[in-house]
Amino acid sequence: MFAPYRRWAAPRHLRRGQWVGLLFVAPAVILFAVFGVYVVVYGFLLSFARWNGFSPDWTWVGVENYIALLGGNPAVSPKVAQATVNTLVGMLVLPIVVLVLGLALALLVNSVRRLRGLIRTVYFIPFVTTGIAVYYAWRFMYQPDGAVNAVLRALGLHSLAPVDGFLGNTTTALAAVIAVQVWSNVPIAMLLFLTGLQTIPDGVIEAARVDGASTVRTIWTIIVPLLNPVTALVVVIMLREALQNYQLYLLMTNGGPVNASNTLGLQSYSFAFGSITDLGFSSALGWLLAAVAIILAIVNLRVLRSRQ
Amino acid sequence: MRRSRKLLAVLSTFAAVAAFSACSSQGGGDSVLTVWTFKQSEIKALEAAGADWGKQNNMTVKVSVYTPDDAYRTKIQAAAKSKTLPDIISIHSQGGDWKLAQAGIVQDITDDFTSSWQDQLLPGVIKGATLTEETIKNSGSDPTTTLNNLKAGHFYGVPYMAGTPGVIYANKTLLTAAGVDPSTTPASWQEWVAAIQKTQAHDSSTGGLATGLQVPETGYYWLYRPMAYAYLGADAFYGRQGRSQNPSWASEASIKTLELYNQLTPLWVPGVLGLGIDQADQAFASGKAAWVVGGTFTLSSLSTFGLSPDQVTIFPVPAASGGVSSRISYQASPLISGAVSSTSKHRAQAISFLKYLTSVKGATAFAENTLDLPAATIPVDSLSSPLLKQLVALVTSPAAGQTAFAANDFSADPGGTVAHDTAVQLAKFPAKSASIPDIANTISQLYTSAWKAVN
Amino acid sequence: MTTTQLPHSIRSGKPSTAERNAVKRASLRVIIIVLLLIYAVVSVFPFFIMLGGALKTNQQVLTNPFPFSSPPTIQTLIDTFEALNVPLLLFNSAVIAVGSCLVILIVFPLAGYAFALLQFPLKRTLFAILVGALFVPGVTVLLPLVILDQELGLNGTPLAVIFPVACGAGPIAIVLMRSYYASVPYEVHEAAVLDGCSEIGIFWRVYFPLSRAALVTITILNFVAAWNEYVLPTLTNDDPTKFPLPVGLQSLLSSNVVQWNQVMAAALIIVIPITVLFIGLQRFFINGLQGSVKG
Repeated sequence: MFAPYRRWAAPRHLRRGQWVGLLFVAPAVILFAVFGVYVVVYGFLLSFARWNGFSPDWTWVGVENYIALLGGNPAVSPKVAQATVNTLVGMLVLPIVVLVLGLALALLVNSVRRLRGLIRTVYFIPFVTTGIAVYYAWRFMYQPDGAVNAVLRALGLHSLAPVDGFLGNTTTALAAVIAVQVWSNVPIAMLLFLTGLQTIPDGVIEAARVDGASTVRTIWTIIVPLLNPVTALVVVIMLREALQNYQLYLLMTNGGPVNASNTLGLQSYSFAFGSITDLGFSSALGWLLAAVAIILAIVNLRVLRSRQ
Repeated sequence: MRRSRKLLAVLSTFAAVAAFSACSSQGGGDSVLTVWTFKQSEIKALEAAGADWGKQNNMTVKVSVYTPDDAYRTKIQAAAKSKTLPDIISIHSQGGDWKLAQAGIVQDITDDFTSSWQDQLLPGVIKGATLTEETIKNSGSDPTTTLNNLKAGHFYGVPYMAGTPGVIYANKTLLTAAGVDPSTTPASWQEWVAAIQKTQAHDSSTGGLATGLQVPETGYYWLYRPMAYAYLGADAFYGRQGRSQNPSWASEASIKTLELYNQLTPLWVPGVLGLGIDQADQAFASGKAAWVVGGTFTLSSLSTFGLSPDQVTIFPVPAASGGVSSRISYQASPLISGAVSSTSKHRAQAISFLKYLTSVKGATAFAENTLDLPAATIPVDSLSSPLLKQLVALVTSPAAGQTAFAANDFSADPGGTVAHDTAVQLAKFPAKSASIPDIANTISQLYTSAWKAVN
Repeated sequence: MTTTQLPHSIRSGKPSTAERNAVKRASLRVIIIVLLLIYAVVSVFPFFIMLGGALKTNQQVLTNPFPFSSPPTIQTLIDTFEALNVPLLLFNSAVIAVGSCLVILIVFPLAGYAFALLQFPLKRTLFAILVGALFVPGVTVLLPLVILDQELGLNGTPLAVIFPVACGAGPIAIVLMRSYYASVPYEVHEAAVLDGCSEIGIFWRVYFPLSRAALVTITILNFVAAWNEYVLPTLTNDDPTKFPLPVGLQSLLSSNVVQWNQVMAAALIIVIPITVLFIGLQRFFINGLQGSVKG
């Protein structure tokens, strides 16, 4: 980073620079050392022990927790298996739907001049407001006689309006929660794609806008490949979201009905704070999730980089 | 650099404010007895009792509430780590108290809980609160569930609230409108099912049955277990949970109980699987469900939701005809105990306060304040609520010639999560997501592996 | 484009290609606008529901699922304000959100600057550790955090939430700031060095003000997260007078009658401040996010 003409000053300057650099990162390192390292080490050690949170001592069990979670314990693995399936559904559906909707909206927004700013703002509101308040609004809308059913019935789609509400039966609960997750994450994807589109020369976009049939092809063969870095970023963010967002599931369904919307993140929470506490399992599951997230992030970035 | 200095000033003020406010929390001087509870509805009653007791003992009682349950548990865990526990911890009886005792968080109070004190409590409560050899043995050796530090026959908390689950509340107006006579209680499970069918046929959106099935335990503990107990009889009921699973969950009689339970599947109110316990009570109180399953503790919640008592009729879960018993009667079970924390500096005072809570005077005031059953025997006539009187009668006058059902007694179960897992399986009936034989076989396997884990 | 190369239609009565294209373009425009409008409705529908619910009586909220009520009532909002002591909750939420934003704005731009422009030992390692924390699930560290807060004597104070939230915002803030500072031409740095500025001077006078958009972005992202945080305040605070809004909303649900109109009113009270903040700062916010992606 240092320009060659300053090389003569390097030894002294570098030392000074090094000190300054360390000083600059010191606050972040200290904050992380106090609030990050302690909890991470604590959590990591705990994943090798059994503990119900109350007893004074941990019982060290080595990798037994990991083995139990991965199928070695008939009392634990069925729950984990069901949660794994649900999580995989989320990991598949969330990135794909968010990518498609985000890209489509970005293209649409990009093709209008007037009101672009307003539309962008309106579209972005779900992302900035997402949290407990919005989750409760959705829960209210998903009630058996809530707004979503009312809209469906008003449109004459009685058969699509579940009698038990969207969160009250095992067939729609997971989909209904994922829909909320999509709703709150589409804005960030749209914004990132919009940014990506602005780096693409106008001529390309202009050409794409002219005709229906060729538009699709232009998008697919020219624009989408140009957006690969953004796509990679969106996929990583969405995979992490699908793996780790437990609060949404906790507040919307708490995994129900009958575990139909239980996910691995929520299962980890339930192990730690549910009716039967087993913090060792909770920690081990959390670290498995972290490992999966990191591996997927690396693979995803590698694959997209190699295609460029 | 003027701006940065200003920023620094703002920050240090901020830190000072925060540090100052730190002093005010977690109070507890020498004359303050601290009590933690997880029930919002109990605060007033505990504070009233605290004020009365405190006057005589020159102490202030400070009651704190933490809801929901998971926040309460975490609160206790964190406080145990940092040695900031209160003097008295309210906890679920028959399990919660033992778990805390095993962890060394609460004290053994056997010596203080004298037999004359015990005699003040409702019959059944002491039996339920006594830790048995069987419970310790069945808790196994798993470090998260074992109770092997504890001694059989010892006490680790004083029950101050009692009662039983398995009580059905019906809305008189909705029943009458559907042509069901609310003054005669259904004589059998089958009659009851027919009555729900009638109310539901009259109005499919409000005529159904509610309970907090989002918590799967409600369906299992409050409804299925009493019914199955009466149908199978005590021996077969406990035998099914036992090590030899005799009879098996998949046996003919056991399947029959599952079939009876499954009769309710079409009769639940819409969206019942999404209802929490409070929400189910609220749905009933606001006339959106003609029936709700709960326990003696449901009355207090219904009254918070503004239900007028003369709207309601109550009866225990009816026994199915064709079973061993024709009627279900309940023993009073201990529901909530006060446990003395191991770090309490006011052990004697804590015991004294618990004694006051279970005295006739303290318990009567507690009952009036919460509309809930105290663990102590109180003169029933002194209660002002007729429904509360009825509930007390429900757990104090067992039918002649039969053993009353101790609804919260899980001592025949293997330790671990088997009860919860069974509840989840049973919730597959209202969810319509599995067949009867499948559910029976799965539960049977759950018990087999749970017993294997206990050794 | 293939359309422009099509042979011109010569049969009379048929519109010319140009005309057809114009029609096509106009109808495409209509379709685009309709689609955009539909998604705009989807985006804000829950907020209409909140607003509608908040303006209903308890009876109306049970019987009318649509967001309109006649006549609307402001009694529910008044009741909720009274039931929850909203000004106090707002203040507590503001303390947590503003406090954590201050910490973040002080700590992470410095670090981002150092990672972008300075050389120092362990640079790569420190960066990997600080950013790798992104993948540690929040669930896993929740209980240790509560215990740590307790041991540091922070429980019962806003700091018990402020520091963990700030720490949690670290990875994204560092990445954003670093890529933003890296996108600034290096000549700027060189010129400042030649002017005799110290490194802290360069940062504070030149780079910090330059990065306004990125600063706004991390502020909003964190403000929203802190504003919505309810698990940590629940677990670290026993004093109802120090609860932030989400905990207040939660207690509204878990304590008494679940009245959806009041819940919606409380939800509205939570959502309005962050929406206003976002709309006010959105120009910077979006520029900041975009700058970080381009950089």
